[in-house]
Amino acid sequence: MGVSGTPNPVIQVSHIRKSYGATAAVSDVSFDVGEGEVFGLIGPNGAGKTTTMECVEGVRRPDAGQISILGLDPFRDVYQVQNRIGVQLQQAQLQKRIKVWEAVDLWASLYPKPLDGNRLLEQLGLADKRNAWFMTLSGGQKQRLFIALALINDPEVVFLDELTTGLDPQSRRAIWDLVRGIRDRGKTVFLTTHLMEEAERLCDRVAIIEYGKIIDIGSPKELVGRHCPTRTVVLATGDALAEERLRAIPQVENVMRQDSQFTLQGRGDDFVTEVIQCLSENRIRVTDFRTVLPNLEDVFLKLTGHSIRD
Amino acid sequence: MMRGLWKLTWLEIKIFLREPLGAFGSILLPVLLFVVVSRFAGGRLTPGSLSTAGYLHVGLPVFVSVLIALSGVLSLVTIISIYREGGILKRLRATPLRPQTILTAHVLVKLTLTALTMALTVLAG
Repeated sequence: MGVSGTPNPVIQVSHIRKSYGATAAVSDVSFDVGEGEVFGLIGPNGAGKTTTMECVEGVRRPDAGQISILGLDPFRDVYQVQNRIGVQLQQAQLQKRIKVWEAVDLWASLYPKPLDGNRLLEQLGLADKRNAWFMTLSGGQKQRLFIALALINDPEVVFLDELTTGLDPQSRRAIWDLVRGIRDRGKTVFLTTHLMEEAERLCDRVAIIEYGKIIDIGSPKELVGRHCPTRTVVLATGDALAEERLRAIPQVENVMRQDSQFTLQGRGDDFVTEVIQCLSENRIRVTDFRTVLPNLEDVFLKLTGHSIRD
Repeated sequence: MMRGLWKLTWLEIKIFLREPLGAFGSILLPVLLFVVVSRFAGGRLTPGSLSTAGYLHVGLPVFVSVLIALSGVLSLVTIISIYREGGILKRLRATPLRPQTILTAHVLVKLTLTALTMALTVLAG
């Protein structure tokens, strides 16, 4: 059992610190990643996501604190660890004129038990790009190649750093499907992102990080429930008695009206049901009805006082 | 152990030759330069003082050593810094490839290409 009580932790990070000169990139970070889960480190650019991840990968050495991955020390046992993990780095490049198959072939030759490179390229939709130079690939194709390289050694843990940054929505969705595929193969995935939608769709658990510190850890649903319990219903009606009736619902905390449009806020799982029941009991005709559920974006705003894009 | 050394070296040679300017600049240019310089110098040589063969004996070793030093040191530094800046080095470092393997591969690439240039120069001379 680790710090946060995760069963079978594959990665355990406790109280790591890392400074570059006078700037503290990571000041006190602790978390566990359990076997087979998709764990996301989310936060704005410069929050310390990449530094934290690179310390776990053994690429950087933390100034203080303990890291254990697959029971090994990532820095001391780096070559042993590297055989068992797959890494996709943020903004990495390859030689401009290296061919796709050559990169896969080189990578495969570095590991004791590589997967079949051709099959991997096929699975990632790169089969027809085998002979293309790296520089001629599109952003999405490059990322898919990097995923292929991260998977070539059939790793137990896969690291994905800002995987979809700079991709168009369509390629992004395709990459998300690939990540789900990695998880379905029983691998542990540790990713960083500053896209809340990505975290919400992919991650079993997320840690929110800002200014080198972890603010909170939990599943996206838990975090939303903990920090943004308020639900919102927006409806439109011409019924003159509507406002009075809606205000009478016990769980409603706030009613805002703008012409015929009402915005109701309240707490609890029954809130939406209560509103629907009130409408039906009083035979209030509505022309519009929608619920607005808070998401990780709102959690982030609540916890840090600003939007992640600022 | 230097796993991946030969593969990386061969790959880097292929990659290098795919860049037309680089291949021209570091292999053909020295040969051309040698030919031009030797013609120019050869024209001023008085007959009997130094034969073409003599020039080849004195000039070639000097030329070759300057060439090796220049191309070796300069381009190694350039390539490593380009790789570093572009994040290629970082990507390679996150694999079991060790830094000394990468460096050795590049030294081997340079040696091979310099040998090629030397051979061509001798032929041209």
